[in-house]
Amino acid sequence: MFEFLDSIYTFEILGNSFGLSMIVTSIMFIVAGFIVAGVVKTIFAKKFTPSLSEHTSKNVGKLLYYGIIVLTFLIVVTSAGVDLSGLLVAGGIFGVVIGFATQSVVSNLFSGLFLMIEKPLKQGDTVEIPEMDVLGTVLDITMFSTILRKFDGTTMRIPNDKVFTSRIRGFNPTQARRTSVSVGISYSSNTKNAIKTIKHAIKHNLEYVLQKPEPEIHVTDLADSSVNLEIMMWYHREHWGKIYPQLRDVIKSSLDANGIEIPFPQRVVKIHNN
Amino acid sequence: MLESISDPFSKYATFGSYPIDDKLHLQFPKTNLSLKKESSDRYSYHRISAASEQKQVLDMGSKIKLHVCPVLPLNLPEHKTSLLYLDISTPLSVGKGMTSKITLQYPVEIGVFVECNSEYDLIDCFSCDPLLSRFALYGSPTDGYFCKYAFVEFADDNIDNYCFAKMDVHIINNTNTPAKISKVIFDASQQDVFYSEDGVFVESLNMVIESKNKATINCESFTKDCSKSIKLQAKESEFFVMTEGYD
Repeated sequence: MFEFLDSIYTFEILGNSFGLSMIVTSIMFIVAGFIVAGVVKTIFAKKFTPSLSEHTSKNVGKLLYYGIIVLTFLIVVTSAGVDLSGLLVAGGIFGVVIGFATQSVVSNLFSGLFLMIEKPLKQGDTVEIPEMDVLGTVLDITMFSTILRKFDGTTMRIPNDKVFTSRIRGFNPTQARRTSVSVGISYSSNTKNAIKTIKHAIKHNLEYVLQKPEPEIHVTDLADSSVNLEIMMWYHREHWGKIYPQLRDVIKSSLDANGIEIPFPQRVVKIHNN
Repeated sequence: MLESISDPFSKYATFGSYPIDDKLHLQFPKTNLSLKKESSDRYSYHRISAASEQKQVLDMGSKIKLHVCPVLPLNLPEHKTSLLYLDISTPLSVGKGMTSKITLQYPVEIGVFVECNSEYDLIDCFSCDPLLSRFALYGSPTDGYFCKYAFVEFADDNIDNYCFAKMDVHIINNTNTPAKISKVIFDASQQDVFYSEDGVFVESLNMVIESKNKATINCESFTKDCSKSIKLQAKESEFFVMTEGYD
């Protein structure tokens, strides 16, 4: 059978002779490699996904899949009698050239690996990367890039080396988070009354604001036109969207209802006749 | 007509089952609830409360009843945790090696169910006092426990049964110093709610104070002859350990 196939077509590369039987066998091995890789990946996903995080299981699955495929290619090439040592020497020189050309690709690849090992962020996390002015949810971390979904619904692909070397602000590690809002009241308003009013409004209107730790309100500045108050409150990390749209409206409405003025910038001009 | 425990002197509806004819109107504190027959097996449901409004069409058969009963306070504004944080208005000091029993107000929500062939489907849940539907954090932001929160007092005979149940807490101070208790945090999914003509009750708690900042709380089963409310949450744990203090 093999001899028959070889009699049909034979060719030479780098002094090595290859027959049609070798091509057919190699293709069969490669196809089998793909099938085995797929089966291993599926078995791994079924067996280990429940005990691992989604992010880890996905990446280990990818590593197994591509690892088996690469291994299959190496087996096929070596079994065909191709001497890889010559390729390695040639590849050494070629590698330097390629290395310079694909510096950023390799950098992204290794950054991706380090991101998977160190895990400063993982799939589903809400993160902010201040250097890039990006705030959103991590959709995926691939070998070369991290994909985030911003809150406006758009997605952003960021090369892994940029993510790895940037400051990352994570919003997921803690259950509770604090937010603060500043508001200025007029100098003629009673500060204690304003604080009491705002606390009452928060308690009655913002059901997702935590009652413990209690919301805190401090006078932070005696500014040019107003007495500035800082209002700090805690909430569950998943409830920001329930609080944010109402927060400033609740504060303003409560101050308006109690006759407490939020002043415009103003300047007092005194005219001396003499 | 009314298959529920009724109080003839109260203008508010009582807990229990209500058969539905053409229309049904029930009034609770700050809440009005109505059910109207639209066709042979279709009803429109409408509830207006101080904090929210709910409208829906019920297509659940013609032989249905409306069942209203108090439920654990874990559903509003959304179910997020089974832990309940009761902040006691007047702290209690228990002497070293002493035991004490207190009865606390226990916030309840009201569950509205459709009863059909002895099966109950929840269609709505509300609170007569929206201030009882709040959250709190017990412990630090990194390691703390997210809880439902209510500011409560010691229960007396004038308790509002639409807002509060009564809960006994048995406290055992096993330390060598007096213990000041101003809060109780526990897994409410351990408990069942009961109601009768005498009011609304939940199973009592045992609180064992083990050190300055640590107390273990578990639930004690209830023995009173009352109607048992429908439970919406499965039991999540046997006990809760307060490791962040009880003062």
